[in-house]
Amino acid sequence: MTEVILMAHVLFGMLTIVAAVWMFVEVLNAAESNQKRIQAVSVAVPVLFWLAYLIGGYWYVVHYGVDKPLILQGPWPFAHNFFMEMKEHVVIMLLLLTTFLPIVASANLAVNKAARNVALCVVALIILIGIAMDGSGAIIGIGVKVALLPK
Amino acid sequence: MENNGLGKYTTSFGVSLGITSLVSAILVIIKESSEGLLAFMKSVTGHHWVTQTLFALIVFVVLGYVLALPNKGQGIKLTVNSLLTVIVGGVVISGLIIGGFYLLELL
Repeated sequence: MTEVILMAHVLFGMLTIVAAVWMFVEVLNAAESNQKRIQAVSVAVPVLFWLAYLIGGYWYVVHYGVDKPLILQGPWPFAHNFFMEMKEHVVIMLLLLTTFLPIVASANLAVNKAARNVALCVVALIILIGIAMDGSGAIIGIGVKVALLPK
Repeated sequence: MENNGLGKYTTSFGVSLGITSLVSAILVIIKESSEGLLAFMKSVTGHHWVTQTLFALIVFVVLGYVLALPNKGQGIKLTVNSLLTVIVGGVVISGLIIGGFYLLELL
């Protein structure tokens, strides 16, 4: 069951990045015709990320206690000491950025260049930090794997 | 100073985002350096990370609404470039503070 929880966390995290890339392209091509789509995606991004955050947070608080000592005793202790520690705190900024997105997108981005620029910057940060968090998660997973390999 | 067409909540919550990111990053260093604070944060919700998340969300929301109050309810005034500097600068510097802190701990 814990694997399903973890996979759901990764799935919603990846969908957040995909939706953010989608939003970036829509904003680059902002017009009256895609305003509703922009606003729909601007809500989808935080919804997907909050799901990833809550599911990942549940797993971290309840189940990570089993993996942490394994990683620390294995050959990749930095998977916890750097990547997990960094991830669990940087991800809070991602929570704020995604939550901020619908506020920016409430303006008409087809005619409001200022709001469009802010939206592009926020979405770009979401994409970049999202990829960094995904990579960190992969390193943490490998940290557990290499700790369990026969010596 | 003109607001360059940005809504008051876009400006106020954008500034709040940058400030909250920095406050959260500084809190990471303080709690990791203070067992007393870490224990207190654990006692609030059962886990220091959950407390940190709630703290950041509360600061973000409260500050966002407070910054929308000045200028007779029109909110704080910033140019677009200033707002982008606060958002991008706040997030990037916060990331560097957190990453740098744990990197130094590792070395």
